[in-house]
Amino acid sequence: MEDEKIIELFFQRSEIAIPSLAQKYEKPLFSVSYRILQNREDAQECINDTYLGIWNAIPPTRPASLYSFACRIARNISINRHKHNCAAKRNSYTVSIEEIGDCIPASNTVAEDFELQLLTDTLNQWLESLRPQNRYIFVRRYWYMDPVPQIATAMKMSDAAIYLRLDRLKKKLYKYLKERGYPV
Amino acid sequence: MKSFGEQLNNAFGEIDDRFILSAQNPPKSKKRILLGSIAAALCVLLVLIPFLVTQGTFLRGDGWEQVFYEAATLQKKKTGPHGTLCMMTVNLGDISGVTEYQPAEDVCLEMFGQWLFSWGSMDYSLQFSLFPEEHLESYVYQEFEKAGYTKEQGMEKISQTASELFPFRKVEIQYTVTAIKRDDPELTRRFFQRINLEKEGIDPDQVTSVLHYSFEQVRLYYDGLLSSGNIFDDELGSGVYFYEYKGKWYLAPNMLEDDMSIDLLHASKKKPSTYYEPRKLRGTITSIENGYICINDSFYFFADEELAKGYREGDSVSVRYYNAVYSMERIEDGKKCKVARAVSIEKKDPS
Repeated sequence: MEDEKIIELFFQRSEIAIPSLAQKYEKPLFSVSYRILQNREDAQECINDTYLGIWNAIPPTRPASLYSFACRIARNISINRHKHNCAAKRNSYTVSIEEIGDCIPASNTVAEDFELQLLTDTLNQWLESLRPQNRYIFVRRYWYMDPVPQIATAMKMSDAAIYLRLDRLKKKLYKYLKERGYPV
Repeated sequence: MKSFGEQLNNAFGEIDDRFILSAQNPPKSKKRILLGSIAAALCVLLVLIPFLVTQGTFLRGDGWEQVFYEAATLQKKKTGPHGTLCMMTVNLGDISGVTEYQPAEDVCLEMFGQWLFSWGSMDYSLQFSLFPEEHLESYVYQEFEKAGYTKEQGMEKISQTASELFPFRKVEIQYTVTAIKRDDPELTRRFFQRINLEKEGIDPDQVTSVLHYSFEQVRLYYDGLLSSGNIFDDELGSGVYFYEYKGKWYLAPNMLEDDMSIDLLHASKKKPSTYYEPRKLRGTITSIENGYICINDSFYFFADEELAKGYREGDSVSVRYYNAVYSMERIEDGKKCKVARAVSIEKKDPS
């Protein structure tokens, strides 16, 4: 079913809206959640919460992309659950947040008050400047939380090449943020 | 208070939909190229062929030697810095719409072949001559200097590392040209819009002409045994630009490989290095052919004659190899496999 039709079902408060959404996107949504939580039961609960979140959001929201709207909600819910669980072991989420944070060296002089939107806009501009394959690698690693071997297989590159590419991309991001006055 | 790392992660969670959507599938760089017969294409061939006939060889640029051309097929070859042979076959079909051939079109075919050769052999030193010095200064030479190399030393280091980690003996390139447009107003506008030449160190006022090539069915084959989809043709999906700058033709700046080439520059056996990190695989030799030993019918190892001496199919072995593993597929049956350079091989008791 096309996304526009599914969104319309939500607007009509149809009882088949959520099942239609689930049929189309449950697999990628579960994948996003599971990589963060590393627990099937928790991931499934978050997906159920995701559907409820979408039901509450649409209407009035009419997302331009139902897929990314749903993934974003699933990701945020899963991250909040992860924080709640106070997961101690390193999983894809903790590793990726540590990795992306690694591009910023710890410093007592780092400013503590940034507007989220401003930083997001800057990130969007940086992503736009990347070559498509680099953008894919970076987004799959730090938004979708894919493990490196999975990215390597999808890109038909070696694991080593992906690790090194990510390292260089993080350095480029660090330089990009620094050039724009972020106190790093 | 959140750490900046966590703020960054939160901000990253709110990136534009288009980036999330476009990352659903890998860019066309992983698109596989199917073996096919020569495809009919639209190009400048009708004008090109008479030129070929009258001019004989049109060797230019970096030492490409014409092997043959007939009907719609053009083949050239050249030898890389470490003896790697590159055979390039260009399919040019029945293409209309171009009324005037100019030598630039032929130069650009060779440049594209050179670029593919650099990707295919992982020897990125081969691509640097395809870009202006000003552009290389911005991206590559600075890295050479940081690593303590002169320009020549840096290129040699990249080439040497590639030959140690990816010692392909023969790379075959095949591609089909589907369209060539010179100074097309819309494509030229897009060229200047897409690429910030000044940022790349290039003066846009000195660009005198823009060529756009459309390609399809670009494929690389290795040693008659393996083929690769890893040629990053995401740019190729919308064609390739060439531009004339200060009287010479160059590839568009966005084609420069400045990531892995620099990784190869820094790779070292003498200090911790991801690519030279030793790995081990144990298994059964399932084939020895074309200079490769295959383990478990899925992992091919470059192995020179000395290393492979005394081994045969069915032997149980342990192979130490460099952690520079390349994903490919076998030409014979399309089976996905890995390729790496064997450092040592040792017989093992099957039990």
